[in-house]
Formats: sequence, C-alpha cells, structure tokens
Amino acid sequence: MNDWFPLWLSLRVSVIATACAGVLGVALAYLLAKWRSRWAAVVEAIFTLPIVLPPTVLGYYLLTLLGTRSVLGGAWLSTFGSPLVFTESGAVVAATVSALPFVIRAARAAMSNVDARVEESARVMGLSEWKVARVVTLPLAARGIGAGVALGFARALGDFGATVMVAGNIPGQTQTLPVAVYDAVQAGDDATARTGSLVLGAIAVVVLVFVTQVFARRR
Amino acid sequence: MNVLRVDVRVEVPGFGVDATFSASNGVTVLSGPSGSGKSLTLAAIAGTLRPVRGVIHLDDVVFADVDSRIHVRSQDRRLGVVYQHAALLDHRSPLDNVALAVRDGEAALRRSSAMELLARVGAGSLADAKTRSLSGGERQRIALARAMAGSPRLLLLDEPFSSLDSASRAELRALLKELVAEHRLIALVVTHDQADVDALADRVVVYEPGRTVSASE
Repeated sequence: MNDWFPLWLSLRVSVIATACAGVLGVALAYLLAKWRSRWAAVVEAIFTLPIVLPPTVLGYYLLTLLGTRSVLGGAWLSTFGSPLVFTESGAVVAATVSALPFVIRAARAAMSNVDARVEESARVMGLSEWKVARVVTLPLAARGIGAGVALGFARALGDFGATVMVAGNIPGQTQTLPVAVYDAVQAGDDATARTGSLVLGAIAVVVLVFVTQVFARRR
Repeated sequence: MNVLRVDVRVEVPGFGVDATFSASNGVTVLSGPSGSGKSLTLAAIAGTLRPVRGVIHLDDVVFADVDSRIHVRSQDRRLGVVYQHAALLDHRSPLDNVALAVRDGEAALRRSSAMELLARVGAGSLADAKTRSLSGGERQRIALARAMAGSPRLLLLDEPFSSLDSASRAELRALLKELVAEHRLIALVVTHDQADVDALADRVVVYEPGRTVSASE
C-alpha cells in the first residue's frame, strides 16, 4: 500500500465525526433518559435506524436530505459556496450519523442506571437541572458514555455504505480506507486490500479491547 | 416557631397514601410498618413527587397546592435530605459533597463553610478522604453536614440510621438532636425502629398502610 491518504482521511473523518456524535449523542441520550413519554421510544427508534438500515439505504436518505437540490443542501451551498455531498464534510456527516446510535444507546442506558436518589438529593440541595446533569448524572454515567463514544469511533472508522453514497469515491479527496479496500479488490490489487483490511481490523481490535478493559470493567 | 402543615394524598402505581399532620421545631418521627407510605410522604414534601390532592406549606410558604396548581421545585424549597444509604457523590471528596450544597457565596467561602460543617459533625478529618471508602457512619455524618449546608429550615431523613451499627446509631441520633436544637429546625425522620422513636421523637406521627392514623407529642 503506497498511498496512505485513505487512512489519514479515515482517521480525520472518524475523529471529527466521533466528536460530533459524542456531543449530539450525549445530549440526546440525556433527554431520552429523562423524558417520560411514549414518544421517547419513537425518537430513540428513529435515531437507532442507522444500526438496522442497510448502509446504502441510510446513504440514500442522507443523499436525498443533503443533496444540492434539498433545503439543507441548498442552505449549505449558499452558506459555504460548495456542496456538502461528495466532499470530506459529507463523509463526516455520514460517519456521524452512523456513529450516533452507538453513543445514544450506551449513554442512555448508563444515564438511566444512575441512582435516582443521588440525583434527587442534588436537586433538593438546590442544584439546577444543568448542574445535576454536569455534577451528578454525566460523571456517574461516564463509563457507559465512554464505551458508546469508543464504539461510535470504531463504527465511524469502518463506515462504507453511507460514506460512499454521500461522499463518493474520489481518490485523494473523499476515498476513505474502507472505500479504498473495496476499490483495491475491484481492481485486483490484493496487497492494498490486505494492508487496508489489516489496519482497519487492528484498529477495531484495539478499540474493542480498550472498551472492555477501560469502560466495561466493573467498578 | 416554624410549622409544617401536610394534608395530601400521594400516589404511585398500585399504592396511595393519605397523610395529614403538622410538625413544628424539633424532631417529628413518622413511624409505622414498611410500605405504609412514610417515604412517599417525604418525597411529596421534598418535591420529588407531586401529590394528587391537598396542600403542603411551611409557615406561609406554599410548597404544593394541588387545587391551585402550585408545585414549587425541589431546588426552591430549601430543604436538607438524608437517605438510608447516603446518596453521596462517590467521585467527589466529602468536602466537595458538602460545598456543592452551600448555596451562597464565592467558591472559597462555600468551601470554608463546608469545612466548618464537616468539623461540626465530627468529620473534619475526612474532608479530603476518598468518599467511596468511608464507613456507613462516616457517610451519614457527611450526608448530615450536606443536608445542613443549604441553611434549611426543614430536614427530611428517611431511615437515616438503619444501616449503621448500634454505636454509630447512638452517636448520630445525639448529633441530629443537637443540630436540630441549635438551628431551631423541623426534622421529619422516617423510621420503623422503636429505638429511634424513643431517642429522637418530640412528636410521633403513626402510619397504617395507606394513611396516617394519629399524631402525638
């Protein structure tokens, strides 16, 4: 493998997407954990769709939603002067959406497991809801949130279907490592496909071991 | 003399309690069998549960009035609470736990107030200890200091000593009595331990399953 651009692009896209999914996912998970309504289940199901939908279908939805003829895509184009789709930013959006459900589900479960009496005590002693979240709920749920964010990173790094639909496969511009592996297989370039697959596999193993050892360990 | 008046019905799925009593300065023990609704009453007073009927007020301050749709947030009731298993923040030091509950002043002032409170409950040496490693009695001392930190007029204690050994229990009962007298507080203590009733009670409210049946000095 002579061209390492796809690896660096994948890492860059994954880190930015994980940060976006982390912030959005934790905020949504908090609302879902505290929102006592049957609609919470519907909202959670919608945000979980990326786990169960075929990645190409997810990519198609995003392409429709963010294409230059859509409201969002048009707004992006007029604001930044270039389209969102078939760019690195498009890859970030696809990876963020793919990673989001992993963060939301892990964080929501962790927040729901925080002892309600600890949160109640904090409220009774005068802490605002924001401070209860910041001082009580988030620190006590930190392991679950961390595990979700790490899994979200692994998912973002490995995304293929949604990324190729939204960002395309432009070598040197939007070709991430999973897409480069696919390209190499199509072209019969076994060495590149093997190296890329080994790198992605190794990173995935490291993340999973990290999650198990650091976040999923019993207190 | 402060007076807390409670006349409410509180419900959770499958159970409800009608509680009617008043409490003035000193310790009022809510006594009765498990499952009679004592803790539910406390939750309604704390504001973590909304009553379905009735009113709760402390002197002329209305905490809850169902007919008038008044429900003051827990944060604004200025109470102190102590639960059976001290609901402390294990990831914060004992000093932080107490300082977080001090409502007024700059950070340094809040920490110094917290330090004074810890010293008052005999836990000054534990200020920077690992909260997770404290004994049950030590945790309840910190919880008591934290409950006092917001300068409350009303303390709510739910089975505060039931998980402690007898020596710690006796010490903490005495400490609670002292604090209540010093600060002229109303303290409501939920317990089904007769020894708590004997040692603490200035008055007793007796529960049967689902209702209060009597209140006596």
